[in-house]
Amino acid sequence: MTGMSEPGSASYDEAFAAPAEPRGHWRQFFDHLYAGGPDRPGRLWDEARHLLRESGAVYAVAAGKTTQRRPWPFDPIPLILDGSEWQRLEAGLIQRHHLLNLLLRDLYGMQRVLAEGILPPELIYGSDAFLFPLWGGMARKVTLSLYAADLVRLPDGRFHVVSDRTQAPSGHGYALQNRRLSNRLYPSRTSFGPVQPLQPFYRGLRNALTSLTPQTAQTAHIVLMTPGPANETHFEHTLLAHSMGLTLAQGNDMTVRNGRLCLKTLGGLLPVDVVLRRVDEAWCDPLELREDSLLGVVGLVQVVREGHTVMANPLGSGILENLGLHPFMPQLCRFFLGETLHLENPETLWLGHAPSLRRVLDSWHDNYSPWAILPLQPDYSLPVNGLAHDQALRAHLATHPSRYVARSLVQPSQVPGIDAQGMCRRHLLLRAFLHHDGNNSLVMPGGLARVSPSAGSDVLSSQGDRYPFSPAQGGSTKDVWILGAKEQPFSESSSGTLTQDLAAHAGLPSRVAENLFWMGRYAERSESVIRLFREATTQREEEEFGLNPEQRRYCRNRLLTTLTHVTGTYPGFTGADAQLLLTNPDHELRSVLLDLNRVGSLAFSLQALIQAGFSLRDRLSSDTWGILDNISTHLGRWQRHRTDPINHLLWDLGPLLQGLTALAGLTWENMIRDQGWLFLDLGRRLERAMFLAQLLESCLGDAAPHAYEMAMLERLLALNDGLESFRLHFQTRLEIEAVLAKLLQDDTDPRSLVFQLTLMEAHARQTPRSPGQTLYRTALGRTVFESLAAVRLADADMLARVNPETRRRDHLMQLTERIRNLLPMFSETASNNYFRHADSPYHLFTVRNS
Amino acid sequence: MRYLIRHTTRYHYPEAVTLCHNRVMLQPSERDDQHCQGFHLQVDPEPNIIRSFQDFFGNSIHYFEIHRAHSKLEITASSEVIRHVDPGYALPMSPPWEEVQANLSGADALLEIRRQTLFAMPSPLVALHPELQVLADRVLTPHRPLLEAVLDLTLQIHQSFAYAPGSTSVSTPLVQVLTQKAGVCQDFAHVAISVLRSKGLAARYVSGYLETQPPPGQPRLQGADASHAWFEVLLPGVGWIGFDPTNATLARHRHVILAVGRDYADVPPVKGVVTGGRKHRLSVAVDVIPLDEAPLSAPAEGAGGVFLTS
Repeated sequence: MTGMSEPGSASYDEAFAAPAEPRGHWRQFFDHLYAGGPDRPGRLWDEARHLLRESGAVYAVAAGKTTQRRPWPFDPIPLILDGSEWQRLEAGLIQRHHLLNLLLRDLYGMQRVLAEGILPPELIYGSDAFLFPLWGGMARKVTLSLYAADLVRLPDGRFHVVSDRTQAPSGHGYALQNRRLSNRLYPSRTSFGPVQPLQPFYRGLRNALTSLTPQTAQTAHIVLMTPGPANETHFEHTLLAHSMGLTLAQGNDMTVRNGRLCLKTLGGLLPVDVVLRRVDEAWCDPLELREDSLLGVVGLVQVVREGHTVMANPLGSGILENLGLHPFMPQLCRFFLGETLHLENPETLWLGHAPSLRRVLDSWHDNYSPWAILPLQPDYSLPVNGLAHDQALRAHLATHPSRYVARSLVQPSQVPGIDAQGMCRRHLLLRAFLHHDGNNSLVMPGGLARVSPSAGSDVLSSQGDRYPFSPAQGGSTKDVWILGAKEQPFSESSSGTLTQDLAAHAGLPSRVAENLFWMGRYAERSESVIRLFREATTQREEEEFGLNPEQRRYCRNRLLTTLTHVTGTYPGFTGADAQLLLTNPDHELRSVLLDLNRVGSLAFSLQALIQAGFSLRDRLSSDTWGILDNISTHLGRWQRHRTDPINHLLWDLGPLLQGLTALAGLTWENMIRDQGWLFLDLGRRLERAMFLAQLLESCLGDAAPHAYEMAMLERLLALNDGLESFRLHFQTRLEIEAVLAKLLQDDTDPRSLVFQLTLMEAHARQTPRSPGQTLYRTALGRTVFESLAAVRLADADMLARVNPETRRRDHLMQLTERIRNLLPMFSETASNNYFRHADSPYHLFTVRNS
Repeated sequence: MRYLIRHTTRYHYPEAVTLCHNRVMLQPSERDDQHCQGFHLQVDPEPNIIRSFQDFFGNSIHYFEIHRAHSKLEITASSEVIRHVDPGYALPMSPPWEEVQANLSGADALLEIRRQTLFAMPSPLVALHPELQVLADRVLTPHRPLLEAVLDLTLQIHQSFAYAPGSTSVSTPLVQVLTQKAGVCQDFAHVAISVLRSKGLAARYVSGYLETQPPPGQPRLQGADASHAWFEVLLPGVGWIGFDPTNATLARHRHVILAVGRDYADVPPVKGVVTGGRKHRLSVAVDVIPLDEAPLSAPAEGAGGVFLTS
């Protein structure tokens, strides 16, 4: 191959010392890569795409009012770093973290750095990130548990920090994800050099978090606080929670009682010892921080004052991300540590310092500025791009100098990569991670490498970006390999996964229970609708009964009417123009199936199912997630072909139905029978019971001539997968009494009404209730018991009997109506008892000074 | 002067509230010119926990939670306060404002002063407004002694803004106050603070009470007072000096200080977040009762001793 470095490029080349001369620590990798033949890069790319799809790794991008989820970008060529070089970098990261930790304590305490003139007060007091309510409230030994730094390697070969991430550092989960991907892409990796494992870091992280509490690692209750599924890095939150055994909780899953933070679970309030915080601090407490926040917990700042719960990172640590600190880092390091700063920033000037401003303005000539102007906070916008150097910018800087820094233009190093076209070259930004337990710091032997979208000009244009090369801007990511076997403080477990059973003792958050309940309901409802639609529109071979077209139409119309009832898409096939619609049902059917905006439509239910699934991601197995992802893909494809003839739509229903039944199978076979499963299955059973009651009422409530009814019975059995077994058992002609008995009262038929109700009763018995209360004293128990008794006691012969005057089956109608009234009460009771988290708090009128 | 102060805040909820978290700043400050001899905070229903702490600005804050269902919340703060201010107090001499400004921002500023530069910066509710440039230039003329200029600013605001309760709310932006030239004491304090900060001077917001006097011959009405707000400017070496633009006066013995901050957002007297209930009604009653005989002759600033508290 030819050399990867461009002639005349000033960038440091990570992989090549000179053209066609790989650096020592890359040599074995390149040997491996090219031993695979010339098409090896292309195959790696395809394989990576496949693995990504399978893993379901995504990140979210805000698109207007909605959120789009895009596949996580991953470049299969890793970044390889030499172990001894990494050790020096580690030392620099540890020093920098130590320094920032001392600065944090000082800023929220004595503020010696301000009093002694080390830092200009404007940098701190003028920043929105300095949270006045937190001052003095932090425990004296507040600890910056997590630290991340974005590093670039400049042409001199040294790494420099372009930003410190202290407020709620992200990327730990994606780094883990990237490592999982590269483990699968390079299964024989050990043969070409020992790569340091990441597991000890993640295991250590959990221990570091618990070591800050009086609790032991086994009993500490750790919550990962997430803004929710709409957040851009929610995938990583679920991944981290899942792999580290943390409870994933949103702000409204928690409440503050007596100055303690508690998780609202089905079994009551459960105190939280540690919060791994991924909600930005300003949004954490509507009482004392941003009042308009819906993501926080009321009273959380008081919790910090009381000191019972450890926040990782502490509220207030965002001030350390201030770019205005960069020029002062060497002085701060001397002030706090009496040491020289090992890991520096690119040269940065704070423009609030008059000589610095002059220096920058004087440097502008001949259309060239060696500086990029960066705002200290996002709302300080520049009239022009920070790389321009014109009159407008000059005037703006003169008016608001203290809002900006000037950073010397950086030339990031280059790395080889693969994209859809083949081998390529990219610029590199490396995020390194560290955690700290109050005494010791551990640096992740790896990290998250981010690379530029293309090789060239974007390096300059991204200089003004606070977070360049992000996936949202088209950048990609890489796994980071640190070579050299490092001695491990403890032995590595042979299995590649972290322990997952640690969260088992934690209660189930009410919101999760609710999402599971609705996931069950929507999955079952979607399945019923598909079955109903298929049964209503399929032309069945009717050898046995020799149906004429009129009889066929009769059956179809009854089923379509049921469809309207089951989906609640009124008036539909039940309205004043029902006859017209039934004659020509395609338009209405298309809408009931495909219209995402029509509440109750199949598309709506599927979408709701996917959404519930997404917010439950940390609780679903990857197989379950794969099925949901497939359903989502089908739904998307379906949406694009909405004008196809109706029978084409039918073809797409097959895979959807298979997906839904696979989902049902997986949840039945593979899910642990915990409270979560109970609620999922309760939702499913409830929905199926309601469907059956509705189906029988709509199809058999009004009597019809014998031949019509026989055809109807056959369809009802087919709908419930019971036609074959019925024939096997009865081997006779269909009798309405026998069919009713089977669909309503057969304990052995998993689709019968009694089967659903029996399970619901059993589940209800296991849901939490107040001590000393028996099941039949609760509203939940009474509704299900009453339904079950009504169905069991019913006499099939009576149910089948037709009132000669009205030509209706009065007994059947009474029974189904009763069930249809009781079951929604069951759902409502479950909501009231267990899901009452949605009661959102609001602010009282404040009294103003007037 | 010695005062007995009772400040009652009542919330009525048509639907029961099941949970509330509150934060109140109702305990009068302890400072050189004021001593709080006694303070009692009564909350009904009885809170599950109540805590008190000091904030960054030195104010006392009380935090409490109520966990049981209630349809009424009543918060009563009672305090006894002594104001050590001579009723005849007049403004001291002061250096030109530019000199004061230079002392604040200079590299060799005193340690304690350096921290006070906080009050010379914009804050959440007080941005710097170009609209205020004219007023700023008119009062802060070259070499004018600081306090003379600030007193002039106080009088100018009083003259050019109409006192109009209801014309603004807690969330009215300052720029709207400037356009409509009307507001209440909170707005006037913000205007003055914005003007002073635009010239690099340190100014802060004061939340407190003002003793009002009934019209001659009439008895004091219960609950007729209200919480009040004004501002203070920093004269290094002397301290913070208060001005009340609502009443075109210096803040003196009749002004009782509850809390100070960068602006109103730092010192709301009562704040809370509740769960349950939906609507609520609020009523407030304040009594500032002088315990000593009032000094015989108050100096003649203000309109015949009748003060506006709102």
